[in-house]
Amino acid sequence: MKCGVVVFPGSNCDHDCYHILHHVLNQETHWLWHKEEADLGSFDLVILPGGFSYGDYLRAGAIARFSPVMNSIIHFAENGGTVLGICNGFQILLECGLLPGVLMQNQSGKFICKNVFVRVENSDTVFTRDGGEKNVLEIPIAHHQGSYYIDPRSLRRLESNGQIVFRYCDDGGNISAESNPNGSVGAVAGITNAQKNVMGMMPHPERCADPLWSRTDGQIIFRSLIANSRRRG
Amino acid sequence: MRATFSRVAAVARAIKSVLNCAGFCGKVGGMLARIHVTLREGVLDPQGKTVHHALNDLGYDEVRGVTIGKYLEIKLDSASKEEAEIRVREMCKQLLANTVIESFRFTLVPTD
Repeated sequence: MKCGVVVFPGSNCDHDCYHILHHVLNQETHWLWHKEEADLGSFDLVILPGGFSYGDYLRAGAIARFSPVMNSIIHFAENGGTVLGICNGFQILLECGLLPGVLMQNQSGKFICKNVFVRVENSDTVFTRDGGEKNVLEIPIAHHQGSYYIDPRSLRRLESNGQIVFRYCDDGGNISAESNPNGSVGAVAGITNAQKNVMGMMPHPERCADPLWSRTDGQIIFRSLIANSRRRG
Repeated sequence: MRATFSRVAAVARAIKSVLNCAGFCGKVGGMLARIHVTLREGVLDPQGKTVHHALNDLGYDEVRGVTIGKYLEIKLDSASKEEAEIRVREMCKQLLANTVIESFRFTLVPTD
């Protein structure tokens, strides 16, 4: 699988993504510099990593979306290319309109950094197919603006289209106000676009995907993507 | 040398006057846009809520609601107030506000 990891000024999970894809999972991985448009035709996956692109000034992701590299990524996504936005990457995907809705400040007003559980709501996407029977994943979050918001009618549309991929839950997969760390509507932790080739998620799968660490649930997402690119040949 | 300088100055003056005449409705002047971006009605504002509670705790029981937003001042050159208004509105929609959750309002004041 040929992967690209975008580097914005202020990205800070770019090396973690590169490490998992290249060193742990042995995939061909390239950096994509924010200032350059790139021909992504030969790529199988582009990751927008977490961090604080452009210092989160104005709104998280608001300035990064106008970077030259984003023109290439929007073109890539519109032609069916697989794009994964993690945390700040999710915020950028919303700002540029590849995904619907917005991420607002956490309801508690606090930056939250901890392990959370998410329930896989749609295991039939290129991002989640390799999960087998496992439908509750433990993945860390680390964000201040992660409270997903969309109007009720659009939320119902996401639900009926199977675009909600992850919801915050407890370790038994139950969804409640207590298991929702940031106040996201519908406990949404990750969604796809209608075509299901673009996904944004607040939890950080790259922070729990190295077998040297105690938790590796994040590997499911990367392995699903690798298996998918093999299937496509 | 002095002759060259005055020729250059004359050319510059000529260019400037042509630009001003063709000047897309007049002389370009300075303008100050004062822009407020706030969360739309009904969108939860955790910062506003926290400050609201803090004010109540301090005894300001009359406080019924607090909204926190952003205030921006943009200095710009524009041929007219009408043109500036169109451009600033564009800036707000394209970058300064996320209109899914935020609304914006602004005033324009000539600065020179």
